[in-house]
Amino acid sequence: MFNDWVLLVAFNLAVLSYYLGILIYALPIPWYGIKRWGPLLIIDGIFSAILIFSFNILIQAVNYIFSILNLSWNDFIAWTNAVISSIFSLMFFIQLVGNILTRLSLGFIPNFFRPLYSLLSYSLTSLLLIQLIAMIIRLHYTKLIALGIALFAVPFRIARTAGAILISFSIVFYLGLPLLPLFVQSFSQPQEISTAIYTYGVSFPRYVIEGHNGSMVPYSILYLYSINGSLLAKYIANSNGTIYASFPYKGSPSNYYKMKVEYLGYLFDTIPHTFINNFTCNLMKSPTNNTSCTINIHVPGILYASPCLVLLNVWNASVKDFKVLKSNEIFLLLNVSKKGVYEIMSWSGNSNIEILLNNSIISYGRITIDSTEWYGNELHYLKIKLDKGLWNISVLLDDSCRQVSLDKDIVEVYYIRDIMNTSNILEFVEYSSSYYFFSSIILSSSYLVLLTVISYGVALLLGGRYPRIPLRMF
Amino acid sequence: MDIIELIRSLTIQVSAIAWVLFFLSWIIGWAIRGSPIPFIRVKRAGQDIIEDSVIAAFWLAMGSTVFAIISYLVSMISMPFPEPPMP
Repeated sequence: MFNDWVLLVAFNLAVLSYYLGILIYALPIPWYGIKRWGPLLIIDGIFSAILIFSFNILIQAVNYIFSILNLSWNDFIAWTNAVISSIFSLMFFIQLVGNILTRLSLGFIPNFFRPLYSLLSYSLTSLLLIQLIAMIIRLHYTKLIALGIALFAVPFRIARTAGAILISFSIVFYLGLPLLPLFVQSFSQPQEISTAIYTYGVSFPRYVIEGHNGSMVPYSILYLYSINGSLLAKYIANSNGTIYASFPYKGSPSNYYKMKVEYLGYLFDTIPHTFINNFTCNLMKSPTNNTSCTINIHVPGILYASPCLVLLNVWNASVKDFKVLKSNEIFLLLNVSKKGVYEIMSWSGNSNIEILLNNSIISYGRITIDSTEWYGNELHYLKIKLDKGLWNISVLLDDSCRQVSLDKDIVEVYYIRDIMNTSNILEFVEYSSSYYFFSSIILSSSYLVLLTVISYGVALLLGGRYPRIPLRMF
Repeated sequence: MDIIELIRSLTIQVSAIAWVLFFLSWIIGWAIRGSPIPFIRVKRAGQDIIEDSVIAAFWLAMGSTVFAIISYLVSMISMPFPEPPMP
């Protein structure tokens, strides 16, 4: 509707041009400075009329080239949206890392991120601008061409340049802009980061693993799983039962993950078991809190743990009392409600064991000692057959326990390095920021300049600056 | 007044003035050309004015025909495009 009206105006302007040309031609004066406008205006009128009647052909040709080049605006929009959301995530992430470093009293380091943050803001602005131009071109390019033709047809070439540029700009950008993603991607690809960051988030906590009565569980292995069971991280605790996941290359998920603790051959459930949203380390919630983020993991299945043995919180029997002396003398008072075989403990090394049951030497039929290997350590499990009632168990290991060593056969899985596929989160931030700056500003601007130059060339072809068709009247 | 109406009335006025100017030029041209003066350059100017006025009258008479021809020719060449080749 708008196009028809604009084209009608343009046609009338073309006719006016033509008759004005004739009027000047017919002037009875021999002044050639004015008279040369006569044939010029007649040609302009005819050329404008050709352009007006060719409007539909022009649009069809543009759409034909569009389909030949296999272009798609949807792909272009999907690409810009993906880049914009990546930049947003990265900005959010920089804020997050800044908050963590501020908490760790390293508040001066976030100052180094500020330029990166600015680069990302500029990239974002540039991309939004390109998206805006693309939206205008995509939705209104026919209107812009019609308007260009109308401007082109204004007599005396008043708006001829503007019209020619508008027509060529619409055509060139309509065909050229959807190729921007290909142009940018032909130079470099962003560092691939796993989509885990969006689902599971990132936090940099300190995990402290403790047993039933609050004692630390040393050298235990902490597994962090996703809700559907895939491994997200695997860390080994130090001698104090502490895991520092706060290094830039380690990290931990912050949402939708569950955990288990392994120690001396047993896999234990933990409290908390599942983190849907980790409020303890939700840095966006309390960014000014200066205490470092610590998550205490309670393992109710461990009654006592030392670097060489673990005493189990025996299932189906309540532990009335227990005592550990010199780390190799264990006293346990159990109230057994059901007759059965109970796993009591496991230890590493080759110690001989002496067991007293209600202060009398236990018969061999009652106990079972299984042996196995656990990450290069020799392990023994003690099981005792008990009837219903109150049992006083004392276990004496003849030699002091041999401390487990997990250095050889176990490989830790770092959340950031192994799951998010980046060697160092700081390096990733730096690389990604510069990549987005390069692709969104440098490459995109170069491409837009290229398209503008082409538009100018096409505008010249249309006669934007001077008549290119050397048609002379007589 | 609608902008289209404005341009149309302007065009009609311009074409009417152009007809008048054609007659005027034709008369003035012949007057100069036929004047009893021995200046060849003046007489040549008269000749030019007559030629211009005749050419102008020709294009004036052809006005609507020119645009009709353009419209016809463009509609002749606006045939459907072939299907794009599939990759």
